[in-house]
Amino acid sequence: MATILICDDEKDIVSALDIYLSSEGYNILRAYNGAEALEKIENNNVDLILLDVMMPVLDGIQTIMKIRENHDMPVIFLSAKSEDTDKILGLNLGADDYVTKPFNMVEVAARVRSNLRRFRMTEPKQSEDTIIIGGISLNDRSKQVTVDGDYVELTPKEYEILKLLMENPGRVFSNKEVYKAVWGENPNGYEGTVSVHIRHLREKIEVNPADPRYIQAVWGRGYRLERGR
Amino acid sequence: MERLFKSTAAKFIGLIIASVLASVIVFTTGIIVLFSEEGLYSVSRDQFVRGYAESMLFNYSIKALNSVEETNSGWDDLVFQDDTAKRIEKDWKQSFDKDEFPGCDFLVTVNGKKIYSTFKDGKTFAISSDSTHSVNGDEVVVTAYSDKDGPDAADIQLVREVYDHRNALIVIDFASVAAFIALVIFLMFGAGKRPEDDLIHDRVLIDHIPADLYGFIVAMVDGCILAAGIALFEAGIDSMAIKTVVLVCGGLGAICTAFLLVWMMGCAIQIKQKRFWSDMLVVRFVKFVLRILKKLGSLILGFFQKVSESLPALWKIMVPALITYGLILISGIICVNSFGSLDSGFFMLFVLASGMLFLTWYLAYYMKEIDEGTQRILGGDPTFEINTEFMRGPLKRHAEDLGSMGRAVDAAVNERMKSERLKTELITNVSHDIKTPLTSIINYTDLLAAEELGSENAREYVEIISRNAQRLKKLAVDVVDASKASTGNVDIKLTDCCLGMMVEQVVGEYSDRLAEKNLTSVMNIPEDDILVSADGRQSWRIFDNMLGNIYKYAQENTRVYIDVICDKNSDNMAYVCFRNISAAELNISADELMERFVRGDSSRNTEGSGLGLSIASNLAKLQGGKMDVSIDGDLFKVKIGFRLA
Repeated sequence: MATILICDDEKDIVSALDIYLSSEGYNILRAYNGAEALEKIENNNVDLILLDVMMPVLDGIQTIMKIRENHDMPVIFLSAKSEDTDKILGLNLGADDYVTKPFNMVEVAARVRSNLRRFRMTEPKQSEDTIIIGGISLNDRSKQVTVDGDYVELTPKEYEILKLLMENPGRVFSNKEVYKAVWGENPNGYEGTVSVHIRHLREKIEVNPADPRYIQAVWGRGYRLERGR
Repeated sequence: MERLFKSTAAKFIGLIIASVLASVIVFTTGIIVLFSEEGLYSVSRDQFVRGYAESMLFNYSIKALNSVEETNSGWDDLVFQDDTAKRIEKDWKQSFDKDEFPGCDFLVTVNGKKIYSTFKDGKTFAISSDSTHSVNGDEVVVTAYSDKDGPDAADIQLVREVYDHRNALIVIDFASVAAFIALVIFLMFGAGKRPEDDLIHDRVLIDHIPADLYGFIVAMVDGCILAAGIALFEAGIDSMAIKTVVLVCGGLGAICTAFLLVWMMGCAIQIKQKRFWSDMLVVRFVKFVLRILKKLGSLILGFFQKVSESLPALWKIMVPALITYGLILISGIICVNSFGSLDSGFFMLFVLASGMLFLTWYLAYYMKEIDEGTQRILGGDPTFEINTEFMRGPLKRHAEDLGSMGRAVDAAVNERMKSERLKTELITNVSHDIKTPLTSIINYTDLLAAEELGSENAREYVEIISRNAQRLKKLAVDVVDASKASTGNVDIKLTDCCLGMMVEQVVGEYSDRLAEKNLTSVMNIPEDDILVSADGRQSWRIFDNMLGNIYKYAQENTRVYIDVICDKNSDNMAYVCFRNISAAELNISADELMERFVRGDSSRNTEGSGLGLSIASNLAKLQGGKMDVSIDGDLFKVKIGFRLA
């Protein structure tokens, strides 16, 4: 089973995560500051790191910079800062994911699972019929979609919307454009349906639909698919 | 009386009578004035007639000499030497025509010596008159004689009649004047009145000629007639019967007066209609000229204003100062020139004027420095220091005071900004510090919930802890947002957003949750895209709060109305209006609801921080929009305004 390093200066939080993730079957290593974390990484085979940002001795930012010098295992930041700028900084420095405190342990476990899967996944065969973005793989021949290797059941409309967005990653589609492309007719005031379908689609492919990793809303303009963290 | 004023016939007759009377007045007054000198009212009839006859003879004597002199081309420029008497005698005898003066005889003497006469010595005459002339220093006397009452019997008869009727003349004169004045007043009052109503009528063409132009025409016509009359009078007085002359001239005079009176009536009408002055050509012309002058004046003034505005601050004062300086020097030179050579007085003036110029320059220069400094301080550089090195007195103090004022403002602004920042920082840090223990509470509550618990109560208690921990979590996040939104410490990136689509997206996000409470959303979005200038993420925050509130507080199984309204003509704003029925009774005012930590249900049992409306309102304002909340019974209504792109 995978080994997870939990690093936070707050011992109670580390314990809680330890208890919860142990019950899920992971091996847990504990560290209470960045320096300890680096030491543990050197001496153990660590598969994933949960890293607090604000810590004494060596903070999360410096720690991840050190880690990234030699290692490429997934790192998930835990931070009390919920500002967008903090998230972006963390992700740019090489973190794979980001959870804000106070977090829900179910969500942390889900993100751990997702990141481990993606990291370990043998690169899916890139064929003409398959589009792969981040952890999502869409096979247009079998009409099958997998997220981090798991099959996801999508309705035909959800599938078509996802396909449209994945074929044009980064491009913003307005509700009307999506409607026309997927339904093949003019929306005539029903373009609001698109938002409902996207909401459902998110619930199926995102770890936390309220903080989506792939399908982003550009408010007042439409939706686009991010290339994934 | 009023009927008389209105009667056209009465006015016509009055006009004719007044015109005739005018001629009568002229003649009677003329006769009275003319003959008063001759003693019409002071001497006896014989004396008066004799005096008149003598003055006629006197005129004849002058006329006789002049006619002789004229036929011989004058005597003044001839050199007579000693034979003046002889020359005059010769001329007189050659060219004097006695027939020109019927009933008259003449005697001419030079220096008392008789040279010519038309009668034999010793003949006696009834009356005589002589005139004395000086010709080249010699005294020539011409005496005219008549052996009857006078030279012209008809004239004398007329004069006698005048004398006999002298009292009647005066009475006629005064009566005529009185009657004339009365008639003129009548005509003036009556002018423009008509029998049919009380209005003032004008005759279509003639009463619309400007009074001055009309008057000028009348004056010209009258002048011509008068000139003709005078010429006729002069020509006819000698050849025609005097009564004919008087009748013809009187008639012409009456016509002139009639023209004048018609003009006066026209003026009276114009005065009554209150357009006498304004209609006048002269007034119009003067007004026109004044208007042009005014325009010209404002043009010139504007030019100078423009020039003075374009001048640098220093020159605004220096140009007038230099002009004054020049004027002083020029007037000095003129004074000196009129009193003699350039002297020390002018030198003194030069020094004084130069001193004044320098002083003005000094003041102007430092005024400019202070002015520019003030502009910089006002323009956002409050710590700017005005250079006071060469300033003196109140000027220096003023400049220094401005500097300290700027520094004080700067300090106050910095202090305030620092305090705002500290406040937000404090709230952020507190929130952050709360989050860490909160994480443990939530996590261990979750772990506890998964444990085997002894009693059913324990499970319920864990449930309560968990729910309140979630509320605390929401509060910790919201309090930071509220603080940032109220201090404007939020990143706002305005882009063009489609308002309708934004509403669709947000409602789409909430569709499942609304369905969970069986809330039906009724959306009313215009067909055309409405582009607003907004920050997408912050606007999402606003709508998220709105729908969050609806989810939390709306009565289940009701409809929620969401309208997008845009009236481009009104205030350049587009509005999104949310209307829903509150589940709880809203015993609170809309203003209170917008306050922080206030929620619709005072019992505070439901989830939520009570900051949602406050955050949304501040975010709307930060995007240049606004948010209004109103409550009507259980109807809860929020109207959010966005600036149109």
